[in-house]
Amino acid sequence: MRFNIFSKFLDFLKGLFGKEGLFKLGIYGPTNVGKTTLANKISQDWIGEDVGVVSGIPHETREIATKENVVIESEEGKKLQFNLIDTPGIATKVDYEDFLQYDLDEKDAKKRAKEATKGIIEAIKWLDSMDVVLATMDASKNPYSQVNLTILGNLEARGTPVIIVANKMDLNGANIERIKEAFPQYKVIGISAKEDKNLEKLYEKMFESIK
Amino acid sequence: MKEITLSFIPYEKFSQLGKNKIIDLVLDKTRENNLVIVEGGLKPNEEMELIEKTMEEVNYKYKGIELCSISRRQLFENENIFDKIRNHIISFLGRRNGGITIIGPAKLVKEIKRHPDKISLLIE
Repeated sequence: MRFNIFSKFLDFLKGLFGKEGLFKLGIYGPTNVGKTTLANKISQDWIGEDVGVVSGIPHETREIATKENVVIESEEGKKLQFNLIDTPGIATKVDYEDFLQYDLDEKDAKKRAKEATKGIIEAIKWLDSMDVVLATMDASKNPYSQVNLTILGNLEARGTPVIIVANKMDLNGANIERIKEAFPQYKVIGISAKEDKNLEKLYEKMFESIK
Repeated sequence: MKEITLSFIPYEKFSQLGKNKIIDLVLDKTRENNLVIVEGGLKPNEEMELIEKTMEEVNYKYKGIELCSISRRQLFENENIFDKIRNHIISFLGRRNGGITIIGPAKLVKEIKRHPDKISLLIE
């Protein structure tokens, strides 16, 4: 009986502090920088499952998606255990007409736009609860976008550890030096989640950054 | 020909109105198709709140905003060592450091680009 009460109390505490105290690793960034491709790659590498659907249409991820209890292991046998959180891309504007060029009819485009705005709000609300963030950027684009600066500014103010992931290094015009120059105070790692390039370096950086 | 109205929110308004009312004011102005300049600049958490509130308002008529915050350091690259120390202290104390934030309705402003010595707006 006493054990039962203790066990229930333990479950209550676990509920309060998340699943067995695992930290939350959030993937944040603007739209279409490959956040879900990266989340899928990490999840496939270590638990063999996808996190979400990937497409070329902006705002494909419109809800937070979580993979619980992801365990990654270093060559020396060290382990990192976390909940992986893929978030909708943050944007300052959502125009349903932008979706019409992807063969969506007006009704579906408006529905998608509505869901996208809700997704952005949800991503912002979750930012506070993240323990570590992979700030993901498209390495072929100008890193000085306001969304990048706002995300990093907020994480800095909260003291949340950040690794900048310069994704899409396989694209022409990808330039990691431009990102390193823009954000010299951060660890920056260049990868291609789509082409499965340099992910092992990202995992190394994660072991270095997360104690 | 299109008329563009520029609204200026001076630094003192923050102490008069408070952060939430400033954000509401910025949103109201962009809904009226005004370009807004916030003296002192928004802090990152205020920018995020502005984005969040903007998303609550977005519909098929109101598409959202474009915004660009420039710090004083970016505006005055050649400031002297005493200015730099002063601004670091101000920044450490969590206060505004004299930059600006420009906000425009997405319907009107297609893009705001920052350059080393200027800001350019692509207007439709």
